[in-house]
Amino acid sequence: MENITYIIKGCIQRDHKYQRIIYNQYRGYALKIVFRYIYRYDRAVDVVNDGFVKLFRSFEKFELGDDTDNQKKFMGWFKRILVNTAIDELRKGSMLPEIGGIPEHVWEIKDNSQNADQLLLYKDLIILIKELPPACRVVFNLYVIDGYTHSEIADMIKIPIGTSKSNLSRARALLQNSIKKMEEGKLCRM
Amino acid sequence: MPDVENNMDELFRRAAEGYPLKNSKDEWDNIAALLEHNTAIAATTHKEKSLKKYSTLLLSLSLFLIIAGFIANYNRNKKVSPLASQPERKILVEEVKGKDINKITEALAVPNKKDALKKQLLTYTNGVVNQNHPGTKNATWLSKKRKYSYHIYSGVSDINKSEKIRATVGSGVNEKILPKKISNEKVLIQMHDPSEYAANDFVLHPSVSSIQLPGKKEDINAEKKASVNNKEKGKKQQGIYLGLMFGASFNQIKTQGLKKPGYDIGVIAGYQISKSISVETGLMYDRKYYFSSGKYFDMSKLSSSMPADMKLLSLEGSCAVFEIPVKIKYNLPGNRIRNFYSTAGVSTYIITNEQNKYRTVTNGTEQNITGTYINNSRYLAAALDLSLGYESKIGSFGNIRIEPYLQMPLKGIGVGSLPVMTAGMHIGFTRLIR
Repeated sequence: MENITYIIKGCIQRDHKYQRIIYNQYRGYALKIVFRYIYRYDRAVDVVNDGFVKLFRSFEKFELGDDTDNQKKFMGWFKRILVNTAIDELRKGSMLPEIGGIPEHVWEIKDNSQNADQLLLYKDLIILIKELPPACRVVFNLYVIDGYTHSEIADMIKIPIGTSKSNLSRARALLQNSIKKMEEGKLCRM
Repeated sequence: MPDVENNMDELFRRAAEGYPLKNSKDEWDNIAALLEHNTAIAATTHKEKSLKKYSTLLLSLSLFLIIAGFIANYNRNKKVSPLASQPERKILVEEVKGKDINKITEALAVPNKKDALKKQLLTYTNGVVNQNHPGTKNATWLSKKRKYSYHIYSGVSDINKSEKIRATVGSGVNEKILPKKISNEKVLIQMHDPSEYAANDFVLHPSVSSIQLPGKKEDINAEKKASVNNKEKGKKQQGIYLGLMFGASFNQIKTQGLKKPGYDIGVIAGYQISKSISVETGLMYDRKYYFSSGKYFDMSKLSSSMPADMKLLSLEGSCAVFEIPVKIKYNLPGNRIRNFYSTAGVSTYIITNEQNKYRTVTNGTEQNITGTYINNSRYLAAALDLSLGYESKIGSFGNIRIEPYLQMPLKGIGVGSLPVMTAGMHIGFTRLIR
């Protein structure tokens, strides 16, 4: 496997060979980020493609550091591009909630895998995030999962910092309730 | 409580990293095509800007030349009339409907001075109105069996200067007033058929009480002679002309940008139908260079010779074309030495040679392919031709013309049915044969 710094340099030169390596390597990573915001698989795939196009077009702006840092740095930079692209997409639809649940075919859980239970739990948690009101969900994703500060969030989605904080509190409260209900349901089934 | 929150946050963070979402199918080809398109656009942006700049310049120059031509033509026409700079006195002849000419016995003359707006009676005798009016010339009007009576408004004449008189019929009947007999005391003016006269201005020399007008008998004869001469000249203007034309051109497909400039050279032949209109055709040899994203290239003609899963990213192409234009040329008003003109028509293309360099991707692997096609493909009325030009006589040789033009595609040409738009500048020499 080629060194990430070498690959990034190739991408900066707009060499399709290295762009392709990045695409293959980070496609899944990108889709998981975008899907948490979009929650529609086909649209999420389109947004990911747009994100890659933006990434490859703006690679000249990426500042290379030490070999050890470059991977982390690149992933953080790419995540930012993806999140911004996803938010732009949400903004186009006025952040309206998507209709219906998530179809089963978008999940990939092998029953015989060792961590199947854990994967099911993760899947349920992601579905719980989807059940949040759109404004709360975006703030929860940005703050808790993607690690942005309230002031960054306020800038990104053009809301006051106070609103970002209150949306986060509400999201947390709703999720706690949902988790509680989920656990109660499991206990009942037992 | 913060611990609960932290634990919950950590749980969701782990879930977000590890949740079992199915990976999407490989769409690299689409991304590569998008990247290629964007790169091409970025690379050609500078060229497009240059083209826009030059097009704007060319258009401005053409507009300037046309406006200058009109102004020159207007000034030339003004010089024909020596009355242009003289003060004007108006005689307004108003129609009074519904009155039998035989019963009309009066008409009015009013000086147009503010302090002398009194209407004065004109007497009418046997179809002739006589009135001595202070400050105006004595006027006698002959009605020539028309069912009108006339209210005559005339201004005070300056006896020291010639003056211009404009005569109109108030009800909108466009008639001219012409002098028939002139003396110190009377000016006889007769109504004529307006179609006989082109001018409606004439000069009154108050000191001699004379009116000089192109409508005088001798002038009428002169005009008739001039008209005959003009007709003869018109006949002389008819005829066939031949010429040589060449120029540079820029070709582009769907405003994607420009490759290097092309050129064309050929012969033209025209038939001058009238002073203003002629029909032209010709045979031009063109060399066109263009660039396109793969999405505008129709692969249907090539599908059998290309791999099934191949995707075309872009192409750079060139072709040799024989072009047969058929155009109508309209000469804008000008003089016999120089004038502006516009043309409109269609061009038929015969492509004899085409060479395309394709950039393709097959299963993620990029490949450059070159295709050369030698055939004679005909495309009837493939482009709409529009141009604005300037033509000038160069001695006894004939005419030189400079013609910025635009060819808009009416159909796609070449193996990929590409809609090639062409803009350029022609320089030509023509000579009237007979």
